[in-house]
Amino acid sequence: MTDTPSLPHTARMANVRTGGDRTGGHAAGDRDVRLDFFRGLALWFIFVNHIPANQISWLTPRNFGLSDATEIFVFISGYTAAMVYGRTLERAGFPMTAAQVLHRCWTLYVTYIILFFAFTAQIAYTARVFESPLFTEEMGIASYFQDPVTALTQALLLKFRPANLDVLPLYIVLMLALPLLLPALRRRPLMVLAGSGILYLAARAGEWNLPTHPDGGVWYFNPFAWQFLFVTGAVLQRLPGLRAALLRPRRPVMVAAILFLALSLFLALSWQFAFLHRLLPNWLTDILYPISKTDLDPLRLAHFCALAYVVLRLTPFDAPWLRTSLAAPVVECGRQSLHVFCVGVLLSFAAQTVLVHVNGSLSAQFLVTIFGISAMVLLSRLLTWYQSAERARRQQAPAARNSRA
Amino acid sequence: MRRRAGRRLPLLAAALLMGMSAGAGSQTLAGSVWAESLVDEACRVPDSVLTTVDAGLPRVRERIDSGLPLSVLIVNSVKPSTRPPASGYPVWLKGELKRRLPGRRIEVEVMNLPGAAAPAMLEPLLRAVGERQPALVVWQTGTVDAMRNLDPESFGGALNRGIDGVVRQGADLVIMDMQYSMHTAQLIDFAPYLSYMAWLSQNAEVFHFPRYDIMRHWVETGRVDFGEADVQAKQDAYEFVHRCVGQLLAESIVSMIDHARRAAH
Repeated sequence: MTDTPSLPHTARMANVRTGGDRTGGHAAGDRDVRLDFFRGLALWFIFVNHIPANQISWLTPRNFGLSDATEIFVFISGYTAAMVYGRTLERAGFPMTAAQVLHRCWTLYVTYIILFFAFTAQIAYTARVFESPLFTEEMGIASYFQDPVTALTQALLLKFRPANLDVLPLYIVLMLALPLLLPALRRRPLMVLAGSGILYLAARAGEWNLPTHPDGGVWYFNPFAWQFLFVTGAVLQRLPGLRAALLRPRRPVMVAAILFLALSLFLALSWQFAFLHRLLPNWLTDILYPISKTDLDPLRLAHFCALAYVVLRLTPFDAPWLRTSLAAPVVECGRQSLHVFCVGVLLSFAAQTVLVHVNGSLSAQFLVTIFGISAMVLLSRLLTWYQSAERARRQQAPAARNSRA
Repeated sequence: MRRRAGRRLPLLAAALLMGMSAGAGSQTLAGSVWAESLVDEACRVPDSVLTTVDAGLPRVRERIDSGLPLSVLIVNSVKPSTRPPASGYPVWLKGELKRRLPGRRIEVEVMNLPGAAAPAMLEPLLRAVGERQPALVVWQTGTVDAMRNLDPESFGGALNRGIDGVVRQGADLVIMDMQYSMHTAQLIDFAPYLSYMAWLSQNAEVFHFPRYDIMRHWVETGRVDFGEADVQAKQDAYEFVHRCVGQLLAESIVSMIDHARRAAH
């Protein structure tokens, strides 16, 4: 902590007080900065990946392996949700915990509705520009408006979703399930993990998913499959012994993990380069494909586990670089993850609009990326400041009353 | 995703061809020699966008070499409009194929399945191929699937079954992907469907006509602008896209027939 500015410290104090899910204040001193750092990093990646016209998304992990930022985000969200709301459950009981979680869900839902309106405005604009024979005959964008009642009702039910807004509904339903999960998690974490695993396997085998509007679509992130990663994060938070056992330094595990990452890298590159793909024997591709993101393919899960093992071995709890000023912006974003995530989705939509309607050059892509990430960092700093200032004000208020009396 | 062995021969031939064209200055699309190509200057795209190097159309080649007409069946999810049909790319394709294959009989038929996603196109597509016995099928798909957020896997599964079914009935297949514009790309996530089509064409016996990337190249190089508001500009854009798609598709088909012919001898 010696070389850090005072900001992370105040942030921690703020978190301890509010108990919100800003990755949750642990008791001072044992806060795992890695959670904040990697979640912050995942949020940056998600922002960059959600701007389709952005070449900079080449730098994000989805191009170098099977899993991507979504896995990191969902896993850490499960872990920190169990940490924060688990503590609330112990201190304030079930009704308070449930109320707090539902309050989070409400914030997420409101964000989703705001985004939906931005999206609708976008469609309205596009539909007008695209009253063109070229696109109407194949796309018929205007049909979105033929039945506004249905479209709006379906949007409120999270069924009618703009492109690239898929993580938000997944996050909302996972959080909605959390109050039910927490009491069981406290008593029988391994049973919860088993149940979650069974649901994951059943959903994959039975092809269960939630529907979308228009009819026939399915959720891009199948919540029945993705809950497994969220619950795994939560269970590992509850079981420090299991966590330590899994992360014990073992050479064979390390070798296997690195080997798996290398093979995944090869696979990811083979999607871009046909000559690499031809090196793969047919029997192998028949077994491997399709690697479903919607249903969280076991290979993606394995890739995430291998990546987590290697990264966490290389980045110990007290790695000094995590506390340098270089890592600080990422850590701050991870710490305020909920708001940064929501604003990130709005920003990527805005960035996309700029690239489409103003300028789409490489330098413009670079600029909107830098601008968006700066805005995310700025927001996280503002929130951290606000929370600590608010805390100080509230502590002062009773003191002032007392002195008057 | 099978039939790898079947691809080795065309590949080897393509490699040889490339060597030959470098030496003899052949004028195929594969050799990226546009100088005497019949494609309009404004329509041309670089090899990195469209290349036929890897592909051949062996069944089409066999049919036309044995004197049968080159019959093309275009299957799409287009809602037919009230405008005169003369302007669409199928009409251009027919004319461009005639220019390139003088003396051959060219037949182009279009089957519209308005609003149909790939899985829903499968059955009518295969039935039509059985009934009409075309030499070549152009399967234009992916738009509806992407717009409705349909499961990319069922999309991929339908493509695979379609390819198998068409090839088993003795026709060659070109799959054509979606239209591109910046505006629609912002609203609709085409990426999973596009990458499936691109990936499939690397492995199956099918040619992927990258309409999306081609149109994107035109937009990025300023040859066409879909954001123009006035009616005439929109009509011009329509005309440009369909004319150029017709030309590039015809050029690709003829160049692949050439490949198949050289591979066969």
